[in-house]
Amino acid sequence: MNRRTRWGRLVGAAGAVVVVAIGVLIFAGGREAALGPVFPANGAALREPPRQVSLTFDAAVRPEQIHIGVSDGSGHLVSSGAPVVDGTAINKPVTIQADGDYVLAYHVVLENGRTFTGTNRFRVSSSLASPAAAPADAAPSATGGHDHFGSDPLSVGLTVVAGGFVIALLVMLIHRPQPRRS
Amino acid sequence: MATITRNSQRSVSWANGAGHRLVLGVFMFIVLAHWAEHLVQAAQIWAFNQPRPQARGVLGQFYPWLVSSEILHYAYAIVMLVGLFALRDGFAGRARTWWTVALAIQFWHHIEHLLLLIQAQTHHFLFGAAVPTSILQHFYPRVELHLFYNTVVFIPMVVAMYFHLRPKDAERELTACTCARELVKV
Repeated sequence: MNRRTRWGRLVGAAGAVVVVAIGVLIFAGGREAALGPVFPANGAALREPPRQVSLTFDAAVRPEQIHIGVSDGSGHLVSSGAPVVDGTAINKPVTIQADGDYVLAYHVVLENGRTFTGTNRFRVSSSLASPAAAPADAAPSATGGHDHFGSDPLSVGLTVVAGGFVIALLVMLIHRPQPRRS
Repeated sequence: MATITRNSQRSVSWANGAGHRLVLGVFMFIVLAHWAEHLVQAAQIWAFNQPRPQARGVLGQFYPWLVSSEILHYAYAIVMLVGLFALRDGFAGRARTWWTVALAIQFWHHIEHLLLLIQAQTHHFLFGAAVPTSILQHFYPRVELHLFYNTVVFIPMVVAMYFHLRPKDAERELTACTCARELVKV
């Protein structure tokens, strides 16, 4: 075994150890609660004002700190009650009396120190024709999720380009190119 | 009489010689599976109008924590880096050049993900941000930045694969694998 091959095997073994270690970390860490749906969702448009806002996790949580607030278009907090932890969900009653744009901001610290922060913008409008319509200036969610798809032309263009290259690679792998004739 | 042109003189590891086609195939499967997840996510957002927090690809529907896991994204970044590095010796000529370009870009992309992972674990964030932040995110939004990184790593990989699967005679002489179709002289 020459030196090059030995180094190659060492690097390969080190890479395998790292991959396995990360896999273990992922699945060990997977038991931790993760934040799921937040109501109202970012960009949501509601015909009726919500009576409460909620954060739903994929497992029961026991938060050490909960800070949830809803502010109106001028930045004033709307009146709200105390947050209630109900298994996997944290609910907070709010009183919204007028149509307009609102911002839900949250900061939750679980007992293991894991922190969830973010803001969701939503609109309340009694004249909405469709509940699916979203405010034009809705900001992207700040939950820290790994979403690669903004709706800007660059993201759309990059995704289309990537999709094209994915198809090209698939075709190449399935129908290997004919050998070049010399 | 058919003769097969193949170089068996070059000394390389199994993964870059007889096993290159198999290992490269597994690596390409991982790369394509990653893109499939993101393209499904794009379809969920743009074609099916799902709210972004609910558009989590395929695995993310069953394991939502995977989508927001910095460890998972670092794991993919390091698998990419290890794969690009370990399989590079199996490429020759133009294919090797393009593969090396992908490796260089992925090296920086991996550094960015390592920094994100460290920030997520230590809760100390760059530039005074409230969430883990990439270095170039200081100039360019994260969402587009990592889509850009993934794309600019992927494109030279595909170009390298084309040249590797359809090499010139001189390039074929420098490889020891069976990835390209065999040149049959009748």
